[in-house]
Amino acid sequence: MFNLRQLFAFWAVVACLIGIAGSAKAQMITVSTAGVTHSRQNRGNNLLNTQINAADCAGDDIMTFPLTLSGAFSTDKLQAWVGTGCTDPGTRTSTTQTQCWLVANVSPSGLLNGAINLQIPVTTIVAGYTNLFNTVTVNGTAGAGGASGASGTSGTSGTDASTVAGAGGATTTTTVTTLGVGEQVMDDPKFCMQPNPTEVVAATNVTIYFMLVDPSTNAAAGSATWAGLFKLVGPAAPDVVSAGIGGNLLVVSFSYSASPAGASSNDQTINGFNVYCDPPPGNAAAVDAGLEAPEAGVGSATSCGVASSQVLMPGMSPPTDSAYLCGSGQKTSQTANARGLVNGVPYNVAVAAVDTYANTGVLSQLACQVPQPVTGFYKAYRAAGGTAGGGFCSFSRTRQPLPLFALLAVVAGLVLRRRRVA
Amino acid sequence: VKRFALFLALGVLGVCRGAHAQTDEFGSYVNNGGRRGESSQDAAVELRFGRYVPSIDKSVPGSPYRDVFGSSNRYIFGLEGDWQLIRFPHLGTLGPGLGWGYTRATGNARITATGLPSAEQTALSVMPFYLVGVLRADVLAREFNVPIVPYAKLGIGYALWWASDGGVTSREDGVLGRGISYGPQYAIGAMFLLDELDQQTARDADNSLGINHSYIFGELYNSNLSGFGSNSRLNVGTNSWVLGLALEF
Repeated sequence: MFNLRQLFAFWAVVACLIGIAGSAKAQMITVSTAGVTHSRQNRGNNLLNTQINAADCAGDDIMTFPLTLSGAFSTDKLQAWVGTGCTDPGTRTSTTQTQCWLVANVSPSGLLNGAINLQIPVTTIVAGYTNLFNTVTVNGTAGAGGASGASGTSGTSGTDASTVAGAGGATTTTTVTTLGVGEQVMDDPKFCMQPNPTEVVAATNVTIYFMLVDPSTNAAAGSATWAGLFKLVGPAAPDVVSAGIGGNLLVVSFSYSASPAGASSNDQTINGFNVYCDPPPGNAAAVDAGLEAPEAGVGSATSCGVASSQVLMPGMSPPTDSAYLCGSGQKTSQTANARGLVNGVPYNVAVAAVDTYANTGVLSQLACQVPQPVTGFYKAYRAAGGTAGGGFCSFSRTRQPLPLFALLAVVAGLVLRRRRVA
Repeated sequence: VKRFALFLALGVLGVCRGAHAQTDEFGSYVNNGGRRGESSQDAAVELRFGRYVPSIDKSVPGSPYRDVFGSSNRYIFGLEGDWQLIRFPHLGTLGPGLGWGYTRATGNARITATGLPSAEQTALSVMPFYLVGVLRADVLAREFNVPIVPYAKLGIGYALWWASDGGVTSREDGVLGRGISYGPQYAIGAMFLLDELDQQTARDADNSLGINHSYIFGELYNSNLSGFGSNSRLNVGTNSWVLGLALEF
């Protein structure tokens, strides 16, 4: 039989367990999604805080997440993981998994209840989707399928290699980089390079899990998530580009030909097009290029040679110098005017698509054309002796606007008569 | 000009008595020339569509409009609202009407050196407004069951116009290619009363929406927007026709 001491001890243990459980339930973490900020300046008015683009990644952007903690134990760790299903401790502690990666790990000594701003580099957020888990597939020689290689050890990254018998006796070796348990991803520009960029036609969902983790069990006592989107590759360039003659401008036409599977003409994020000119718009640039005599204001060319440029490289990114930007079109446009050009000067033009994440894609093939003086309607009218124009508020000095005053008098008369009747 | 303004003013401000609606527990009735059972009728609206080729080439030597935009037809879309201020017994209604329209002609500018078409688009946009007195002689429909309503309009037209090259407002010799034009405008036309095709629907439209009558119409009109002969106004008026749908309510 139990004596009183044993009975007391039993109930003391029960009370302690209940107390721990009660305390665990009280551990909470919340994230203010509206308060999330980016360190990179001038991101543009149309880019949301939930969106990450290539410039953020390359520009060392750091995102700040306002968190509120309560009920945390001094031994808890505040961790931020990116991926899918990261609240599962089994996933987080697996040395072969590639679906979650640790991007922030606040030590117990620094962990406080209350408000805390957690800063996470953008490169680490996108890392697992890009180059963190390097997957290298090599077609090997004929042979039997092999067993998995050694896994990485705790605390250090490692690789798994598996060899699988391929069709016709060929073998395929796949190497996967993994992370050690508790290993945090560090900021690295290489994570901004997205594999298979030609296949990226949509944004990727990204989820960050903020958790209070018990280090002894790796269980997440409290958690909150932030959902965003990233796109690090601009749309493919139109593959049909031509330029037509205008006065001090070129009319650049562009389109996508019948799109092969996976082509970025299917990119639903396309939001517009930029047109780039070489030489850049303006008289000074034409003079610098030796294509226009100083003070002449026009060049002497009437036709283009073979389109070529040292600045506009088809398939490469547009020049960073905005001076080469000479026009833009809307997302449904198939033409855009390249403006500010000098008549008689040959211009090379190329087009790049821009997406809703403000990513600019690579340049199209070049087109070349020479702007020339043209005669539009108003010029033809003036040449025929017409003198009308000058603005909506212009009146002739030789004739008074008598009819307008008559009109006003009629309206006033109507109003007065209506009042008398009433 | 003075005689025109005087005529318009007298026509609209004439000594004729206006129509007055009376109302009882069964609704309102027109008591002067109206048909018993109808709701009161005070206004008309027109949805208009027609040909519009400005008379620019008649106001300057040469043919700059046709040379640039060609000789094909251009069209205009417009709206008009009329206030049927006065009802003449055994004739019809008279009142002011205010109209608006929009049309745009586009073409390719010519390369000056060769005369060949360039890729640059040149355009002329015209937004005409007008204030007219409208006389609608609905006596045939009201008293003789002939579903035709002839009408006439007389007043002043006023138009905003602007020319552009390559999507930018034209400028030549430092003068901006946009301005205003005005001048007299008149029209005659006839409306066919659609109520006769389905009288029950017409009555329902009156009871539920207050639409007294609906019509299709054709109109011939002339607007001479040359600033009453000024050579500093672009004559964007026209001599043309328009078709449309009209509702009286």
